[in-house]
Amino acid sequence: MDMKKKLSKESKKVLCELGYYYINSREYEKAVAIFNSLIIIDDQLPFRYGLANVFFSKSDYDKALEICRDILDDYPGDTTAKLMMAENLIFKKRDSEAAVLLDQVLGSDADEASMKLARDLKQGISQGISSYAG
Amino acid sequence: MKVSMDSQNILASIQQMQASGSKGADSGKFDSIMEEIQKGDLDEGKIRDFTTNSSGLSNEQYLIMQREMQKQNELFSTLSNIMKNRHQTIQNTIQNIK
Repeated sequence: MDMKKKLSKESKKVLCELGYYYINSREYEKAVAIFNSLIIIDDQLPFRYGLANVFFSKSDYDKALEICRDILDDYPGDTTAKLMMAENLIFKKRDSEAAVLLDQVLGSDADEASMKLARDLKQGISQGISSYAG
Repeated sequence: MKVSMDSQNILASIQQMQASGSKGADSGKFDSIMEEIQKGDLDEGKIRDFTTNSSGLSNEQYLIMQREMQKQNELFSTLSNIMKNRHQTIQNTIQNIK
């Protein structure tokens, strides 16, 4: 039986929301377990973003960057992974590398929320946001 | 949160004044100015005079502090936008689950 069919789309969304709930409540181990489980049964990008977000939220920027790089290896034009990678790079005080990725997002046909986030992150870089990070 | 060296000096002098119990302006005047602030009657010039007189800040130090606060306000505004758009981006990814 196809493992992907064991869970409905709605159930996966609910579990993904639960993963983010655990991130917000700083229960990172539970969040990792949820996103890892979702990836095992159905390796979709939103679950990989979720896992990267867990590591970003717990300040494990290297691990988050590793996940973003893996996504970009599989999907080189993925703007969400680029945005997440840029955020992690800013927190690692690697502003110029982050700016390159943000420019790539701004030059793409990404959705409006992603464009706004890219613009705000660029503005944050110009305001020295990385000096407040960490 | 990181502040510039000038701001750190200003904050240190204010903290020193607080520790020594110095109020700068006399308490009667202080109370009346607080009343005016609460009524919204004070203009920016009066607030500036009051701040420099009561804290012992020079005009230059006051301007430095004001610039620093302006920079921090702008940064908070940017951070707020980042958080809002970050949330929206995450919501969009969840909607894309198949």
